[in-house]
Amino acid sequence: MGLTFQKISKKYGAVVAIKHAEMKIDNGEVRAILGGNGSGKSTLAKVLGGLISKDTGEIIFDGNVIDFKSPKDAKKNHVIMTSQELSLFGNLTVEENICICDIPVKGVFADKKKIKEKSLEILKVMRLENIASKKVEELAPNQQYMVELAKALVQDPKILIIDEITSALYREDVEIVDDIIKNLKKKGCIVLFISHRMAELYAMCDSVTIMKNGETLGTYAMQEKTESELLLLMVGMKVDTTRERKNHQTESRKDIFIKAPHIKIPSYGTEESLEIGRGEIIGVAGLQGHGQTDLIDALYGVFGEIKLEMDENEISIHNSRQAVTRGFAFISGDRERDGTFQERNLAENVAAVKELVKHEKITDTRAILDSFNVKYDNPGQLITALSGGNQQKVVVGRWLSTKPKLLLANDPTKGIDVKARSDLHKEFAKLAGEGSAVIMISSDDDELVNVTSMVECSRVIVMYEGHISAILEGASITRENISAAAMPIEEKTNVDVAERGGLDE
Amino acid sequence: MNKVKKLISWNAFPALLLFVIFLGINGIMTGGLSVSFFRSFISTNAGAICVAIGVTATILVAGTDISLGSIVSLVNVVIVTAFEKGFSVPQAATLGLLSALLCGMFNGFIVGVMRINPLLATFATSTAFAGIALWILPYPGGYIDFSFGDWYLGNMFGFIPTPVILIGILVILWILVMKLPMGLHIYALGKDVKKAYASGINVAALRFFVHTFAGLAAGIAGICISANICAGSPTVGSTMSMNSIAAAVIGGVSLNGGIGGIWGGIFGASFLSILISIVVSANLSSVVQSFIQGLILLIGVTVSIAAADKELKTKIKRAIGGKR
Amino acid sequence: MKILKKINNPYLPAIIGTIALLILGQFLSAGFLSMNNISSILMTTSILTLASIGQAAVIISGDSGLDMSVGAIMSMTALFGPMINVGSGVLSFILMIPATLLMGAIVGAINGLGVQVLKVVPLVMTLIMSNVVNGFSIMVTKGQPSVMVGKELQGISKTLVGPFRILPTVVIVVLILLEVFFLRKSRYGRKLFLAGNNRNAANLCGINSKKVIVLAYIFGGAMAGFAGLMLVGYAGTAQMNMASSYTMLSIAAVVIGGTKLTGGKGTFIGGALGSLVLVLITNILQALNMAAGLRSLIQGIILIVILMMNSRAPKLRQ
Repeated sequence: MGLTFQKISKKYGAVVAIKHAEMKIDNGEVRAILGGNGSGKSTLAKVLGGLISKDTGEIIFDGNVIDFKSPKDAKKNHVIMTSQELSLFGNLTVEENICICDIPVKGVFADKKKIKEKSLEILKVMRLENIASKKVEELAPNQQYMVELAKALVQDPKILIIDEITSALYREDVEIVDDIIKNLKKKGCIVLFISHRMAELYAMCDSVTIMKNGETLGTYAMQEKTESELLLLMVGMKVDTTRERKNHQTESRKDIFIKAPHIKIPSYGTEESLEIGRGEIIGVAGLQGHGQTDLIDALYGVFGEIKLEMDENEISIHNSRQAVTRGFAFISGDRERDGTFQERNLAENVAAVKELVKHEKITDTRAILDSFNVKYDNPGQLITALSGGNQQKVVVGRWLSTKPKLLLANDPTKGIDVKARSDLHKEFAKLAGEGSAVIMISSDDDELVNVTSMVECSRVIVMYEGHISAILEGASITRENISAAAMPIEEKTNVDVAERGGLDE
Repeated sequence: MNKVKKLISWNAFPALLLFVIFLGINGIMTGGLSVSFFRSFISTNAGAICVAIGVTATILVAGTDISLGSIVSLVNVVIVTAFEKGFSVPQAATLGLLSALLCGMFNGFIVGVMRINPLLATFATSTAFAGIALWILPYPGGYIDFSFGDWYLGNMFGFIPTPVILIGILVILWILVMKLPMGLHIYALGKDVKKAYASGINVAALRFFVHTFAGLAAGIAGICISANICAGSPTVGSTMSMNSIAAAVIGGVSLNGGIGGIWGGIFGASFLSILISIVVSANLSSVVQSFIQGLILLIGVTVSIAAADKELKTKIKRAIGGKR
Repeated sequence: MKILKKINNPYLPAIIGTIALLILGQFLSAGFLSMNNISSILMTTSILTLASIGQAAVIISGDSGLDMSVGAIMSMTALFGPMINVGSGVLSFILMIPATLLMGAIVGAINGLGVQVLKVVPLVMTLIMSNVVNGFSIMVTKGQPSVMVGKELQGISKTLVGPFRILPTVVIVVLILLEVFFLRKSRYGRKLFLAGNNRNAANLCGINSKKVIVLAYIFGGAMAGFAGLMLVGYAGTAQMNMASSYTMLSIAAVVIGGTKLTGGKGTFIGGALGSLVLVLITNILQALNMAAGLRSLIQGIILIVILMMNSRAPKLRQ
């Protein structure tokens, strides 16, 4: 029987989000939906989950046409959608969160005992019984993800939609999730997986549907296509993937120009040091939340004063303004929070630093936008009219047009498609080629391996619990080494730790 | 030990503490705390406490309601006019309560169903409600039978003062609501509307409910105040809206929603009330009183907000930690 | 098509409202469109416009920015402004302007610091400040203001410049200058938009959002201070709390003018148009000799209707 999408279309005003999307999924199948930004995959998932309405088309499940008027309606029919941005309430406890969609009652009142039982039952499977009565805001990101999954499972899904996993899971967690999904399959549950992480998709999914510009291009068995074949389908053109990269330079002479002997990592109360060379790209890796963000925030003066040695002068930076005047730049992957001014137009978004803070005149906004390959109509249009990847390019244009000496980037390619991603990588490499330095965090280890191979001089530092647990250089920059160093307890012996000396406290 | 810790970390604790301290100060200034002082304190301020309870409910879902003061005025005017038109006191009071409920439901409709920003919406309705009150009774005047006042100042069930019962009705009602699945939904909605919607919560209905509850609270407040003064005034509630919001904030209710509870509103309002009575009894010239009240309000609110500020706490901790 | 697009701007409801109200006014009372009445409408509108300019700056500053102390500041400067007397009437009048601007700015500074440093929600902070300011006014005047409004101050509403009285003319010039050179072109105005739209991002860009936002409150307070002086000049006498209704009127004016309360967006001119609509409503109701209560009821209903047309939040389900 299964689930069939027939010619689903959805417009937001004049913008077409999905166009005649077609798809058929069997019961017990785990289906990946893959596509760039603005390809409509999230919209499609939200239509199914009852969060948004469709304009035309039909969804047929087990022979019946379904058309949910609200998420509540969808949940009644056991169609459950979970996504990180739309799920947990920080002010409630884990058990309350798990049961909030269908609170067990005794008479008319909520049954607290039952809430506890119900959530413990599912938390046991995840080996997380001990967090049941904690508030969600106190949890680590990976635990939050598991709670989110628990919240979906407790509703006994017949169709489960998992939208965009962004937090990295520990290895044990991945196994648990894998088990859970196998179990769901056995029960005949349909699982829709939306993600950018290829490794996870290959591990968990049976088949994959590719979406592009709101259309479904085709469905393939997961084993049928290689990663680069999928990317080719998705983007419609060849993209440099990890397989085609240059070899890392093994030995290079560094021209150190910034020394940061005391970088505070407040989340762990630790301190680290870093020396930064001209033309260098430093990748920062590690499991999410191990102090990577703190490291670059601290360098940017977010936590108050930091003392640096720059071009052999002692300087101190108290806030972002001073960092900007010293020639630092900061690009965050959380565009909506840290990057774009959504009510303002492109010109204003580009001018934010150069004109308003550095007091330099911008003569030609178009030239800047063009040089960063932004697709736009005119500089007077709102930034939200662009796709996610193009918005990020505008932000990058804002910063790189100031010719920064040090670029700090926190997962700058998060949630943007492969083409935009490789464009940004090229910009970073170009900047480094001009003698500036780039420090870049990424939650995608492949990306770091790739970026660092693009310049002559590079390193990947791996962080664990607020410390730099390994520094990889040259040929030792590989995905295996990075992930091994990110969890040093189990496999410390395998890590190829290069030049750790002098950095221990 | 654990219970003490829990009490101290309770959102409403600072307000409770302040209330107790200032109660003590008041006792010292007026020469001891007597039962009659409590009776007159509760009968004078029951209205303010009820309105604070009502506004707290709306703030918990990340809304607000600045029309409650106007509703109180309206209830007062309705009761007086109805009584003068020949209705009995209970009938007049019921009419007043019903009109408050209607006002609350109207607020709930525009905020919940029409999705208008609660501040603007209740500002607009506040103008309208105050207008109706002024239309019905253009000038202060009229009277209500003193049996109403006697009932209010007397006891129910032998020993419980009537105002306490009236507040108790609201409290019990709210506690029951909190025990319903809706209780959790209210806190969830206060934290994040979009997430609440995605979790299958009926956002419009919940907003409608809290504003209706707030209307009811304002209705009871109107009864309290009318019974206490036994006269009519079309502007009797005009300052209550803003004092009640301040009370809720002092009581640890976050204006961003989802944090706090009605006890915060109750203690916050009690604290403000005792403060006002201290300022009045301090023999200050009447022209200075409102300035000093304002200043104290300012200090109270800023301190209670600063005390709840996690960022500030970690900053202080970091500063202390850094010096070590 | 192009013309349609141009008309379809945030000012549209206010413009349509103005035209409809003008027709309605003339229909209901014959002398409504007389030069005299229009000129008095423009007078009140310009006072409200001054207040709404300040309010708009605060609303644009974001973080649910709102100045509930506008009415209290205006009432205060209406009381204290005319008290300045240095002998010469003209010189006194000239001194009154910076003095009232300063008084308002001080209150605005406290508002801004409370909001930005102590992190009190703007609604609450400015509400409480309005209490403090009102209390202060009562304390200083001992509750019995006796204000002599000088000839020069009264002159702002009496002297004619061409067909118009002096104040509306000045306000229109000030409005356009502020809109273009302060809000749109100046570095500060552009920073205000960015900080109001996304504080976090603005900070990371090196913009000192805190300073920018505090300055918006100071500007808002100063404009209210000036508006208070103009109000007392027009009214000719001062009373306690004479401007209390201006708080909500100024917010309503800004909203009717198409500025969203979420911040980062907005115009001063919209506020002026919104002011005109509100003044027209009041004026029509007064012309009909309506009871005060009924007038307030109708104002409330009109506001609700405007809000329903203008400021509904988007549906949760799209």
